[in-house]
Amino acid sequence: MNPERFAAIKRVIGSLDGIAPAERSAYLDRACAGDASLRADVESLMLADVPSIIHTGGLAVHLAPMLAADHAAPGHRVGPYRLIEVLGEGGMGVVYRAEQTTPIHREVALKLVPFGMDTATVLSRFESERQALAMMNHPYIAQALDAGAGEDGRPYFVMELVRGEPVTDYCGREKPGLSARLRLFLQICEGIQHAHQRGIIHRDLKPSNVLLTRSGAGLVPKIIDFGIAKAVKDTGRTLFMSTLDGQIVGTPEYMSPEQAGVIDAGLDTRSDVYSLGVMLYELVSGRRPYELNRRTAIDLERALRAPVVPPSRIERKNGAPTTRGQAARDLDAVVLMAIERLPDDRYASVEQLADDVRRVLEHRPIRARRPTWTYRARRFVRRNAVGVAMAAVIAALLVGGGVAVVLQRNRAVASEARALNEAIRARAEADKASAVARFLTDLFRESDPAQARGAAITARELLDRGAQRLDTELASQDAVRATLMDTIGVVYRQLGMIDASEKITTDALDIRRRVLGAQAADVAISLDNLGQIARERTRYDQAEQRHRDALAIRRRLLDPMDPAVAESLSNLALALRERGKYDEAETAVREALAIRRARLGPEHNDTLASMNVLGDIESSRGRFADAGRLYEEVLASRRRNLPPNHPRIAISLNNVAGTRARAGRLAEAEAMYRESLEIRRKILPPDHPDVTTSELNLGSTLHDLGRLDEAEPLLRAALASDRRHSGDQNMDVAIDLNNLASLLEDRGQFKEAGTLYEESLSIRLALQGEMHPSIPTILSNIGRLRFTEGALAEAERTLQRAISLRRALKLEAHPRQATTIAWLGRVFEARGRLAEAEQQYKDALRIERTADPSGPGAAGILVSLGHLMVERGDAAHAEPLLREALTTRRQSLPAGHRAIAEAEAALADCLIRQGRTRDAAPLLVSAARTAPPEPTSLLYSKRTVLTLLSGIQGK
Amino acid sequence: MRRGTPTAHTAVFEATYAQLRSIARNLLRRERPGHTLQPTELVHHAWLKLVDQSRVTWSDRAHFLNIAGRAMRQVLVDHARRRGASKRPGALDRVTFNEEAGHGVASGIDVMALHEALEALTLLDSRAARVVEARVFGGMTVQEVAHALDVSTRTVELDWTVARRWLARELKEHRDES
Repeated sequence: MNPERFAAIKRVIGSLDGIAPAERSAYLDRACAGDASLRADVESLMLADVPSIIHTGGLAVHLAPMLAADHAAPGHRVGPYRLIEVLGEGGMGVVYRAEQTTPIHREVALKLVPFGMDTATVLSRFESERQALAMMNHPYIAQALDAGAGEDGRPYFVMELVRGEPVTDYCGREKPGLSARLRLFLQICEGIQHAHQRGIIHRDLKPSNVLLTRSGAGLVPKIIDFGIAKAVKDTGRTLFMSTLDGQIVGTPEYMSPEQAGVIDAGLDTRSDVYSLGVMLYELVSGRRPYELNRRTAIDLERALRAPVVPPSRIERKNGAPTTRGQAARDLDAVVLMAIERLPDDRYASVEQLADDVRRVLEHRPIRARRPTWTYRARRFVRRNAVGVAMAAVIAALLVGGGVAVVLQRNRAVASEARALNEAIRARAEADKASAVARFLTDLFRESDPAQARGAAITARELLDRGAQRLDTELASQDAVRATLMDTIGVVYRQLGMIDASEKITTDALDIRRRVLGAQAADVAISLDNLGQIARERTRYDQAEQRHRDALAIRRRLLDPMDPAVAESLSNLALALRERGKYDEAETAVREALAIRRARLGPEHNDTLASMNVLGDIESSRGRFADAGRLYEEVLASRRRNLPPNHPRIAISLNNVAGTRARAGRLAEAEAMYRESLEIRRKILPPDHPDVTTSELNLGSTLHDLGRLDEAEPLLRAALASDRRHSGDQNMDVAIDLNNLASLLEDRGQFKEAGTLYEESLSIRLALQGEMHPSIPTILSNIGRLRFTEGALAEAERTLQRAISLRRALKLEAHPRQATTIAWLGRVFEARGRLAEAEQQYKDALRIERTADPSGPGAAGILVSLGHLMVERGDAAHAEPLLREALTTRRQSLPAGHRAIAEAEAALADCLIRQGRTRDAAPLLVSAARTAPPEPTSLLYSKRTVLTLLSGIQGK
Repeated sequence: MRRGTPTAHTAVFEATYAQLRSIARNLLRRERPGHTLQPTELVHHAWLKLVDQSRVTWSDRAHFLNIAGRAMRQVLVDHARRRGASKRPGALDRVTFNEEAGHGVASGIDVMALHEALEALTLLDSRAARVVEARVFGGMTVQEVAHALDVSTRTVELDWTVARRWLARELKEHRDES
């Protein structure tokens, strides 16, 4: 044999195609033109018996149906059947025409399923369906006859042999009119209905499974391949592009979204409705609703999400008739309803679909319509009790807040949740808690009558109960369960129940990793949620890692402008900020903002949230003016678009108030903090971290305003709440301690203040390590305290440590550094190193003026510097500084504030040294009223003021 | 992944080969009696592992499978060699760790014999040999093979029909000889 001979053989065999067996011999004679050896070769090849299996060392390599599929060889036997010819290669094996010899003689269709699956399991599954299949007896359904395993162990299925062509091919060829097509379709529906009534879902409906054949009754559809999909596949879902059975699954365009795995829903009769809908679309227009150019899973998902062109409007193909007028519009509605993405939005049964098609034929009004949200919501409740109870809980607790975003990830629930959201918001604002409870009770009762009780159920009970029910009721639907678990986790977190949240979210993540693989989009959702939980726990290193992991998955799977990427970026930015990595955080959140502005719009809550994050970052860097602008924009937008007691308004109030406080506009800050606290107390449980945040902030502002008696209880309450809620090793507790200590310091309770500062420091060191911006903050406070107590050496050491830490953290330009340096100056001054002290004050002033030109922070430094200069005999130059300080303080602080007294006294002192006692006197009088009675860190106490006063009055 | 550059092919081949071996090793370790394994299953696993699913097209897959088929064949041949599979044609190296591997099969084909037969076929009609390799070891459909080899499906079908029969005859003869 040589290549030429081989090529010749190929030519001859190739040309045998159209020749009837009887003619073959003669044809070969002619074709081989007398070359006897060529003819011998050709014949021997034609007769070759192709075997099916090879074995090697335990790795059984199975080459069928490749080698066994055989177009012209005499019968290969499979069980009691003899294969005659190949009819086609399908998604699950090759279909042959076969001959049955015993007990009766007839021709059948035999499908050989390839190896790779456990034969015993496949057959037993088919067996269980076989009973039902055997009971099917309908002229439009190809009868399933038999099933078994061949000698080589491969399963086969035997069906009634149908000689016909796919219904779409027939229509393309014969080009019947619209009525004829619709009538054909109704026949098909009749067949499917028959099966559904017996509990059989086809699962693989497509034109190649609906053959039109001629019988005595005329043209009749025969639906083939029932039940095989279920027997062969593991789950109810088909892996798109799977080659586990040796073939690519054929035509995904007919596959329902739940079958393709694009949505999370079980398979039921409505999956067949979907496939029928696609076929109807094609029958009517000649085209399919989705044309997939690329056959990847991602593109299928995208295609299914894109809007479908109604069949009346799409360009015809294959001679399909055009439709016009009312009939066209009605038909559009029917088709579109049948191919709705979510099963609940489709016709509930084939019968309903057929009914509407009949109505179109008979020009009667159809029933399909765009459901209103109420209709949808009600229907949803009846079908899916557990799911909707959860959706209701979540939506209700939401009160229009941020969890709706979470729900949109649970795509099946999104539109209903939004609708329910609207319903709740429309209810009375005044008594949120009982309205919510009532709503929940109603819904719960409606969805689960057995559980109805007279008493109101709290949201938490509902959640807990719901969480329990998930374990039992949805045990087998892993992916759905994981989604609900994840969502409940978010609600737990919103309620401040962090432990419960973490547990259920971690469980959800484990399930998702197991069921979907480590790189799935849903895994990213769980990771992001866990990251948020870690942030609540102030475990920012953990949070950063988790958000990074989520981001990595999303960047791989999604397009770069997908909002989910923005979400991870924004969350990551928050975590990075808490870790002091401000530059990285800014980069991340700016990217998030760009995406969100482009994709969601400038007033979307997510966009605003990212603006907040950027504001937070700027705040941390000390750029309070920039932060303030961002926060204000967000607040304004929220006040415009949200109801008055909305939690997000509370957040924004909190943020803006913070910048007001920093800018010295303390009265405004107080008002905003109060409003924020009120809102939060109304809608959140006590001990919720947000409530304590507001308490803390309000308390600190009152402290700044000098109203220590009002401030102290708030700060103590916040500390106690946070300890109760989060334990002792927590950044929130550390902040509370710091603020309370600072207040006590101002009261002169130095010892207690010192203890609290130390505790705060040790928590921060334990949680963040030394290289974190919060450490110098507290060191600075401790240094000041030591100074006030008179422990000068220690004060100097501590303050120096704070200063050099900030330099190492690249925060040397932060306003707080100015404050710390100024305190160091005070220490030097007290130790007699006046020149060094003056240098410190000047450095501090420079930093402060650069960082916050219009802020009041400079006042304190100016007073210190001015006072020193006076001491060193340079009262004249000191005077303008002290005047500035006094003016600033008078503007930013309420009358009677002790810091004003300090400035007054300092200026007075300065004037006295210049001999202008008459100008000094009124200042001293004013200061005497409000200066603190005991020595504090301020330069002048009441005693010193009175001393000065008596000094000049004496003259 | 585009056809044409030889280096791309080599790199992909090597990666695929390594991946297939590792998957095969794992699957073999877990093999239960009565369970059979298809090389196409391994190829599918390799496909998932080696390729970023979100970025590939049908065409990419076709090309990949083409190379993977070759790699798969190599894996099996190497495996057979390591097992000490006899080079004598027709010697059925059946069972080393699967006692029940005989599914009532009277006829079996030695992988080595198939490999050598394919080599012989390559000398007669290299494209036909590649079609067989792609379908048998890569699990490709007729359309995919046509796309990968840049010929019509009719051409592929004819190659397939004839090559298969020729191989069957070759292998039968060898068996008869032993």
